[in-house]
Amino acid sequence: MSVFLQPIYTQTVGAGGTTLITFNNIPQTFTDLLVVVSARTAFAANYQYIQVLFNNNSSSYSATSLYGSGSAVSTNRNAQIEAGAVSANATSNTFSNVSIYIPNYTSSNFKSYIADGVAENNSTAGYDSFTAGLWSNTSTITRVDVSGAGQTIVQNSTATLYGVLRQGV
Amino acid sequence: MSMYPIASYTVTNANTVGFNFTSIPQNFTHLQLRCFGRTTNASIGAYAYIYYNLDFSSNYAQHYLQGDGASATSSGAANQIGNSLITPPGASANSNVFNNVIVDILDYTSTNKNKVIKQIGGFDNNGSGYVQLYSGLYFATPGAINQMQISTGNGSVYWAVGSTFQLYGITTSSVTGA
Repeated sequence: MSVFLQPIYTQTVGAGGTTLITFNNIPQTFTDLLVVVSARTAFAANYQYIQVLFNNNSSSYSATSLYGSGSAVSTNRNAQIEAGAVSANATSNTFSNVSIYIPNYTSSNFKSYIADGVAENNSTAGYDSFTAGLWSNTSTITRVDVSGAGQTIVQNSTATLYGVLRQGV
Repeated sequence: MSMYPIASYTVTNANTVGFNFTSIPQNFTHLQLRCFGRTTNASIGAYAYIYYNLDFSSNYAQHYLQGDGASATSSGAANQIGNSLITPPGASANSNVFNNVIVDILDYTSTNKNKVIKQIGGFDNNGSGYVQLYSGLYFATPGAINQMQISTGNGSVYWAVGSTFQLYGITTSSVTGA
């Protein structure tokens, strides 16, 4: 993380949960964005994933990921931004720890990002992931959505959007 | 700026097994620890541990995803005593080689959440090395973290002089952007 790290928005999920965390009207005055998520979903499993969209647009994403399950390593490619989330069957009161870094979010180039995340559980099985991704869209990013990919994100989950300034900006 | 230096420790005594960050301020949201470490363990890659609130009970779990230049592996363990710190080089590693690790601890003051720790780091030994994504869980009854001990976990293994550890506090925003 840069020392020029500015918290822009933070949302904490309240009682009853939510299916979507939205950050609107993102200032265009930073050089990079960082999204930090601590999430747990109501999905009946140990792990699921959160999904992130830019500008409420679900098209033109590609990603290459590396996963560790606690026993095996795998890699795949998919067409969405995702990172691990702890789910309902995992150790209670346990949430994920996810960072998504998006450089040059105001540029007219396609948007690259990296995502690293861990979803813990007091078990030999776990869910660690590391992703490099691309949004093939030249629009500046003005909105970021974090969803439970159709599942409820439970109370006390949090998401914070940071802006990062380069030296000299 | 939302990232503030809280404390720093540089090993100057060659007999340092561990040290504590005590009285961690409770006015931040997240913590970040940056490590540059090496130990006197006889192997190339050694062990080291982080303990929270001086809790040396089996209240920890951990998982990792690792590459060593030849293969990728993943492993996990429940009910551990302490969270492993990403592998620091030991005495058999090349001289002057230290690891480089960033440890993120979210919501460390929360009394609703267990503490989930993410580490990214590794070291290269000019011919061998490790790169790791490490996760840790501290699942004692959720409470604020106010102390951290960083230790080799072995009374006869010491941190190398010059190892440094910096602890930062990170704030969040009161604005939701909803």
